[in-house]
Amino acid sequence: MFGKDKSSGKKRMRIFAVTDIHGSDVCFRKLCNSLDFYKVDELILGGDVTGKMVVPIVTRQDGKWESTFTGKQVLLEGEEERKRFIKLVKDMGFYPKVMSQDEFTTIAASPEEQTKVFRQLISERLYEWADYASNKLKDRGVKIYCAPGNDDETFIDEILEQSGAFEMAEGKRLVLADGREMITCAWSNPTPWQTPRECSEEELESRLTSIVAQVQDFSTAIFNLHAPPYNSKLDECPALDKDLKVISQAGQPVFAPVGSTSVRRLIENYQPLLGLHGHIHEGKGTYTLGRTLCVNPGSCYTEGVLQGCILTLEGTKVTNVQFTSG
Amino acid sequence: MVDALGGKKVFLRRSSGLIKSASTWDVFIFNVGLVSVGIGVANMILYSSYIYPGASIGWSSLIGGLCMLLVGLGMVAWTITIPRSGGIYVFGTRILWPPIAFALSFVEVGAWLYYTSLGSSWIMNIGIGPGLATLGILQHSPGLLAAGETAAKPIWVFLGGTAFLCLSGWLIISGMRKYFLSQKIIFSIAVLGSVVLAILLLFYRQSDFIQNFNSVMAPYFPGVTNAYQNIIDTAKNAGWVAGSGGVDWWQTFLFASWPFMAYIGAAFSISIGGEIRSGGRGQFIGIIAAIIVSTLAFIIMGVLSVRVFGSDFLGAVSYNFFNGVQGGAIPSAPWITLLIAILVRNPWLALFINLSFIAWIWLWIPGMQIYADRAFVAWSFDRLAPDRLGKVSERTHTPINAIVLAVIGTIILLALYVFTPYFTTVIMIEAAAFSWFVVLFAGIFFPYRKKSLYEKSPLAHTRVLGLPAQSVACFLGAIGAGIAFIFMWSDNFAAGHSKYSLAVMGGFILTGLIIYAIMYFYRKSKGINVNECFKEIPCE
Repeated sequence: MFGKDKSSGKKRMRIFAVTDIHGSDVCFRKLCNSLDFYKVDELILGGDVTGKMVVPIVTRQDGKWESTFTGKQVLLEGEEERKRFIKLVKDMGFYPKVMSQDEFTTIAASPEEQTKVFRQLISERLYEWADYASNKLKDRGVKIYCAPGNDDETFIDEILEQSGAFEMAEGKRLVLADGREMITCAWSNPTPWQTPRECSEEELESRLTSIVAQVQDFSTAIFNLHAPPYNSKLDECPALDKDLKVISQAGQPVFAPVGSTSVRRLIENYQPLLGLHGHIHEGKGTYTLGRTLCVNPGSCYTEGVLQGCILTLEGTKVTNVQFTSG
Repeated sequence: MVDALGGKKVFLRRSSGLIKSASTWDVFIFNVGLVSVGIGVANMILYSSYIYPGASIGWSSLIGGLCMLLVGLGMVAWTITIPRSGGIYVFGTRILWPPIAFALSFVEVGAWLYYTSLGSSWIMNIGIGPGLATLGILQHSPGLLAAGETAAKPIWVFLGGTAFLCLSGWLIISGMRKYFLSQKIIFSIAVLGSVVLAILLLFYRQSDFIQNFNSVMAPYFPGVTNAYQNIIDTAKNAGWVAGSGGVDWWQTFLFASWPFMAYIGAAFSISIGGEIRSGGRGQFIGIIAAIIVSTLAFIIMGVLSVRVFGSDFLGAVSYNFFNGVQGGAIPSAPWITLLIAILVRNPWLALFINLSFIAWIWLWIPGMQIYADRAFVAWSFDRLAPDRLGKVSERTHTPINAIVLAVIGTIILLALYVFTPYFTTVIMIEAAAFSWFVVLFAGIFFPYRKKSLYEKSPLAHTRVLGLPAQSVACFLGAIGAGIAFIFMWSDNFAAGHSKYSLAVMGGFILTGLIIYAIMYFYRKSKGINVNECFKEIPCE
C-alpha cells in the first residue's frame, strides 16, 4: 500500500483531506470513492460534517408535494419527481423531510420540535453514511478519520465512535498507518453564530495543550485542528457587521482574518509537520508557519463538488501538495 | 427557527455561515469601477472620425453595449451556476478539456495584464502628457508644452508607465486595506470629473469651442484666422476622407469594439463570484446595471463631444497630428482632455478633468493586477504553475511572488506595446473576446453535459422556450462575444487578422498549451497528475 522512497528508505504515504462537507450526500460518496480515484492511502474528513437546514416537503391534499428550494416554491408531481428532489436536497447537504401540513405547522411553531427533527435527520444521515462507507471500504481495510467541527452538535460523537466505518479522531492522538501521529480538535474560537463547539481562545488553548501533550514526535506529526491559525490567509472570509451583513469597500467585500490565535501559537511553538484545517470555506490554500505546512482544502459542498487536498508525506517532509476539485 | 427571510419554508439550526449577502450596489460599484470611462471616451474621441469616418459614436456605444449585455447575461448564468471566484478559469475547467481551459485562462490573464500595461501607458499619453501640454498651450508656456511632448515619448511612456505599474504592485503587496481606501478616493474623483465633463459639454456650444480653439491656437497657426476650419481643410487636402454626413453603418459596427473594450469591466464581478454570496440577483443586477449605466455614460459623453467639437474636426485634428500634416497639426495629441481644456480655458478645471481621466485609467491597474495574481495563485494550487506563486508572505499576508510576477509581466507587455508594432491597440482584447466566446459557447452545453452539477444551480428550475436558462443565456452571450470578435477581426486598425495579430493571439494560446504540457509532465515526474485536479469523482 505504501510507496518507498528509494534514496531514503522512508515510507511514502498519500492522504486525502477534505473538510466542511456539511451533510452533503454526494460529497461524502465522492470521499469514499476517492481512495481508488486518487490512489491515496488514508482519508481524513475534517469537521462540520452535518447540514444546516431541513427542507420540509409538505404533502398536499391533491396528492402532490410542495417545498422551497433555492428560494423558490417547488411543486412536485409524482413519486419519481419527489425522489429526484429528495436526492438533490440531500446532495446539497440539506435534510429533506416529507410531512403533512399539520406536521409542518406544529414543527414550525416549536423550536424544540425543530431541534428534535434536526437530531433525527442528522443521525439518520450519519448512519446511512456509515453503512455506505462500510460497504465501499470494507475490502480495503481503511477507515475514514473523522472529526466533528464547531457546527456539529456533540450528540454525533457517539454515532461516529460506534460506527465501524469511521475512526473518531476528536480529542485524540491517533497513529496513522505509516506510524505518524495525528491529534485532532473540533473546537473553534468564538464565531458570530454561537455554534455548538466554540469557546474562548483561553479555553481553546487549554483544550489544545492537553491534546498536544500526548504527541511524542512533532517532526512527523499532523495537527488536525478545525480552526485555522489566525492571520494565515487560510482564515480569511468576508468581514461582517453587527447584522451579519458583508462589509464592502469600493464594491468589493472586505476580507478579515478570523482564525484562532491559540491555534497559531500552538503551531508556532510545537512546529508539527502538517496542520490540517477547515472552518473557513473561502480559505482554500496553504500557509507555512516556520516548518509547519498548514492546509485548508476549502469547501463548496452545496455545488456537489468535493474540494480536497492530496498530500504526500515522507518521514519529516511533505513532498507533494495537490488541491482537487472533484 | 423557521427562516422567515423571503417567506422560505425551511428550518435552520444554529450554525456558522448564515450571513446576509453583499449588496447589489457593491457589485455594481465594483463593476463600474472596472469600466474605464476614461479609456473608453478618450479613445472614442481620438479615433472615431479619424479612423472610422461616418461612424456614429452614439450608435457604436449602443451596439458595443448590446454586445456586452448579451455577454453579461451569459456570464451571469455561469456565475449563478458556479458561484466561485476565478472567472472563466473556474467555468472552463468544469466543462472543457483542462489544457484548453487553462490556455483560455492564460490568454485572458494575458489580455488583462496587457490592459494594465496599456492603462499605465495611457496615464502618460492621455493623462500627464496632455495635462502638461494643455497647461503649456493655455499659459503659452513652451517649457510646459515641451514637457508634455516629452512625457508622451516612448521612453518616458515606458519609464512612467513602469513606475505606475510598480506603484500598483506595491499597493497590493502592502495590503487590501490601503488598496480599498485608495480606490474609494480615486473612484470618487473619477466619477466627479466625468459628471463635470458631461455638464460642461452640455452647456457649451460648438461656437464656443471654435472661438476658444482659434484663440488658443493662434500662436501655432500664424496668419490663420480660423485654425478650426484650417485643420479640417488641410486634412482633407492631405487625403483624409470625412464622413458623408449620414451614418456609415459598417464603420459604426467596426468602431463598436472600442466601447466594448471598456465595457468588459462591467462583468468582472464574475472573478469574485465566490466572495459576493449575493446569489443570482446581486450578480444579475450588478452586471446588467453596470453595462446599462456605462453605455448611457458613453452615449451621453460621446454624442455631446461630437456636438461641441464637431465630427469633421475630431477626425481631421487626429489625422493631421498622427500623420504630421504640415500646417494642420496642433502641438499635442488631441485627446479629449486637451480639447475640453481649450473649451473651458480654465487651467484648474482642465487639470481636474485631466486628473479624473487619470483616475479612471488608474482604477484598471491594481484591479487587473489583482485579477492576474488570483489566477496565478489558482494555477499554483492546481499545480499548473510553480508552487512559489501560491505562497503567501508571512510578513505581508499577500502572495508577493504572484504580485511581482504580474508586475513583471505588465512591464514586459508595456515594453512590447511601446517599442514594437506587434501589439496593436486591442489585439489582446480580441484574444480575450475569443476566450470568453469559447467559455460562453461551452456553457450552452453545461446543463446537458454536467446535469448533476447544473441541477443544484438556482437557475435549474428556470426554462426559457423550454430550454435550460443557462443554455439560452450562454447562447446569447456567445453571440455577443462572437459579434465583438468579428468586429475586431474585421478591423485592421483595432486588431484585425494580419499575420501579426494572428501570431500574437495564436502565440498566447499556444504558450498556454505548452505551459500546461510542461507542468503536466513535470508534475507527473513528481507523482502528481494535474488532470485529477479537475476530474469529477464518481459518486456511486
